[in-house]
Amino acid sequence: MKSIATILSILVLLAGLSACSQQHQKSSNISKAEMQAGRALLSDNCSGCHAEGADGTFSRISFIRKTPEGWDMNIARMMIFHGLEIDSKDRRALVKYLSDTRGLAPSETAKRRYVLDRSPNVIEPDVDPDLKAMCARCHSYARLALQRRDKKEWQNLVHMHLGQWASIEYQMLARERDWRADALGPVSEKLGKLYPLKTAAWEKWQNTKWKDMSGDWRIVGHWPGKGDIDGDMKVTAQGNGSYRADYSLTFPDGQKINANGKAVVYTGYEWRGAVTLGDQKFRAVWAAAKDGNSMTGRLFRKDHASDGMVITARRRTAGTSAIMNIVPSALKAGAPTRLTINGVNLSGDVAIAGAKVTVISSSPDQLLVQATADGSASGPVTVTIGKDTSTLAIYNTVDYLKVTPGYAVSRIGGGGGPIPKVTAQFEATGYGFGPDGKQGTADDVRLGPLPVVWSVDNYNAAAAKMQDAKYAGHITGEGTFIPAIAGPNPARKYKANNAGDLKVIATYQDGDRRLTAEAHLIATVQRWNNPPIM
Amino acid sequence: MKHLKPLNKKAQRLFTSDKDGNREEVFAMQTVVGCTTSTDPGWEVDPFGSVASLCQPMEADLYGCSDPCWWPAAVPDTVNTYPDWSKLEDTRKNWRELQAVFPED
Repeated sequence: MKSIATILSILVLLAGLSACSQQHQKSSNISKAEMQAGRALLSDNCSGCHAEGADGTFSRISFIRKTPEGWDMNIARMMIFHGLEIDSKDRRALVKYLSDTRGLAPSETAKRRYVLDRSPNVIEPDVDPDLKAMCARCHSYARLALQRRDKKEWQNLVHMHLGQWASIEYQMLARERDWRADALGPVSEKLGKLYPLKTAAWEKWQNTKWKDMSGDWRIVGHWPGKGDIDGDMKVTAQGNGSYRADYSLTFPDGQKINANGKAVVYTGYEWRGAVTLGDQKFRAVWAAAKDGNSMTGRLFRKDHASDGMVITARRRTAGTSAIMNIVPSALKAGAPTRLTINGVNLSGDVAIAGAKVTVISSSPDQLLVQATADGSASGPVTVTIGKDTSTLAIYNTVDYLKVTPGYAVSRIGGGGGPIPKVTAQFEATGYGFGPDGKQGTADDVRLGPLPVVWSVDNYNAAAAKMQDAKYAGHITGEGTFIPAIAGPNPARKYKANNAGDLKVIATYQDGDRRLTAEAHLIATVQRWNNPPIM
Repeated sequence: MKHLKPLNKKAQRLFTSDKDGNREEVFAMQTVVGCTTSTDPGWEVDPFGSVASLCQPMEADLYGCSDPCWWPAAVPDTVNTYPDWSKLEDTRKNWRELQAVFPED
């Protein structure tokens, strides 16, 4: 009996080990062949340093979760730090495997998408002050908030920093505090609690059936400084989460562009696309909704991420319809205005509360109407097409102007050097005071972008003394600040760089009224370390 | 704090903020994503949120930044990570040879 009990115990133990191994690699969304191929890549490229345990885990790697960009940066770091040699094909495949098996759930990235889709000039919301002081004075806060580790793994990250950057303690003001004890103690503790390895959200997402993205999609987007785009995208599955994407887009200047692109979907919802539109290379970083029928994100120029569009894509599905956007998004009372209403499967009567509407042309994708607000309503009103609704603003006068972003950074570049300029894009938006007649309150009505005249000036006396406005760059009629070239400028005092502290001024002329608004621009120096997640 | 007298703007703000209970806010330099604010000044902005107090042209002392790993998130550190990045003799003249370091796919 004793021997039978012993055999049973061993069997139970083996079953436990097997379950433990599966726990780290389970996902009904990934085929057995993909799992085996991914595991083989890990073993071939990583196991020389990352020991494979009896339970099937690899040291470090199996105890971290990241976004696709985070994993790609990890591989890049192994190349730089430890001389890993890996070809591009294997690098991409590893990123796919790691993101699919050790990724982040949609709810875990929702708040920090701005860093993934390269939204420019974001001042990060909802940051923990302790973690900001420890991590986000060199990195974005999103960089840490898009990782999941337990305390011990966060401590390993601290040790990596200590080993790699010998002066880090001095830089992080360790003369005034016990930085090392802080980093390894309460900070790692807090990171492990806020961003732990195992979460219910990830468990649930792994057990959710990930959607195939094939189909016909309708796209609308706004390109700050340029205007609005719309079009279609036909998506065809190519296997292993790869897709072909055939775009047909109408640009803000009316130009129609057809292009074949490609995309990979990581972790079941992270759409990463590449396409050349006209003669410019673009990258798409979008997130799919849980039902897989809509995606949002940015489509931006590959080498100039600050230049890009905010995109909404919606899959055409039988029996569903929606208004996706209305251009322009406001009607001036008494002024006949042509509106373009984009959507999917639009049908039925068109009505705008407080306005007379004449339909000029109509298709399931798009309606062109002429609308005249009769003055009986102002503020947000309902637009109805059949059973679908959206909102539009009706106004009498533009009460004030706002420039976004209110605070921006551009970077010098070019000038014969390899680092491109980083431009800053501004947009002026009109607002109405709303019923309370006051600026800056919750009932203010957004009227949409307005055509303005752009200018720049020195931000303060120090900037005027250095003649920053003269040297730092210029702003175009589209609100694009183009910084000056990199390098010391012999014409400036001290041969200073073409950096500058500027105010960006928008002027809107409405008959005899003139409205102005300002933003603050730091035109600064380049950086040479430019990973996908700063 | 009662025996100390503020000598510059930042110290003055710290002094008044300490009285108001807002001392922590003085330390938190804030700028947009992608900017490195450690070590006051940061790489992109000075302690006053401007550029007037940055060391310029930065090429004149660039290896003074990269050799001791100042702002390593923005400027390649040449102690451990990118030793070859500091091989130029005069960055004021040869700055165009300085390459970006992230290995693109």
